[in-house]
Amino acid sequence: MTREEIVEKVNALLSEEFEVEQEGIEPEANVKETLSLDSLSLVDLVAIIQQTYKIKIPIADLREIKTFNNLYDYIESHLPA
Amino acid sequence: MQLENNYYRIVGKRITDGQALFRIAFLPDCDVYRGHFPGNAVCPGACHIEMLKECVETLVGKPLFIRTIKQCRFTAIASPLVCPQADLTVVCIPVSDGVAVEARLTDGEKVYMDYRGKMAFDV
Amino acid sequence: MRDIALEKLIPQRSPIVMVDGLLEVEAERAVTSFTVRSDNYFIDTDGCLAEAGLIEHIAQSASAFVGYKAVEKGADAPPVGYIGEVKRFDCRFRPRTGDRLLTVVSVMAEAEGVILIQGTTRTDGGIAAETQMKVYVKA
Repeated sequence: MTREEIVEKVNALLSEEFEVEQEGIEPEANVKETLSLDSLSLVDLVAIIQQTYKIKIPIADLREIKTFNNLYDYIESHLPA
Repeated sequence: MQLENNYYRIVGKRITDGQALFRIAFLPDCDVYRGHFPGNAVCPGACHIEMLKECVETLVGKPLFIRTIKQCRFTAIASPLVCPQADLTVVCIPVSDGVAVEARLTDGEKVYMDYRGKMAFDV
Repeated sequence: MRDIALEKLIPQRSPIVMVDGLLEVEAERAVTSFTVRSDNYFIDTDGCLAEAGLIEHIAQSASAFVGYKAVEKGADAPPVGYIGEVKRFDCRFRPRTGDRLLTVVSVMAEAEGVILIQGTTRTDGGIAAETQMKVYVKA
């Protein structure tokens, strides 16, 4: 799975779930602010990513994910072989 | 299990086209606070839901059964101390065997509950 | 699975204790049991457990699971837990006084101070209710 495929899929998933225009998702933008996530909706984001890519995002790692690029990098580097 | 006059009291009710507004007072000496939680009274979300059901039953005049809840968010923690009174606005839309309910519990500062779900006539 | 007193697992106390205990615990899944008694806080006039009672029971099942994991890590008191969100709750029937509820709670995701679980409650009569639920967990 290439990075472009990840970026495209993630943007589509998140814009639908959190009702945000895909164009509004900038790679270096802050995820929580862009999607206006509170603690309740943040866990939805974790659930979607974990289900879609069959990966686990421990809370400690989640804290490090600030921008969309961080999210794409995390998925790319944790994809099951 | 009647929560009215135990957990809450309806101090006012206004019905305008399609929307009902209940002015709710939370009763501080309700028994539930003995265990939820000892020394730290917090309104249980489940009691907010049961309170809403009782209020909707007064609107439709029939016993109801909470068949589904699409989404119910508790976005702030309520208690008789923090929030002695609040407004419960309820919109009921008749559906095949019951009513679709949208409701919000707020005291003007915070929103305590947003509810969307279907309550069926309890046959 | 260690046998831990219920008071250590959940912060709720009488009259609103809605779990008898943990039967099974795995990394992401737990099973609880609860017998509906006539003095239950959520019993309706017709001797049935109200839907809100099922919701509180599933929430406390999740809290017991979180409490167990906290105690295993050395916490001496269970974290206080509140229901943050109920999603796709579906209730098929209301259990009666005397029914024994068996509830499976599985953790779907966790974020800072919130867990998202799927809960399914059964009695001898089959699935009584299913729901997704987010529980705020404050250490």
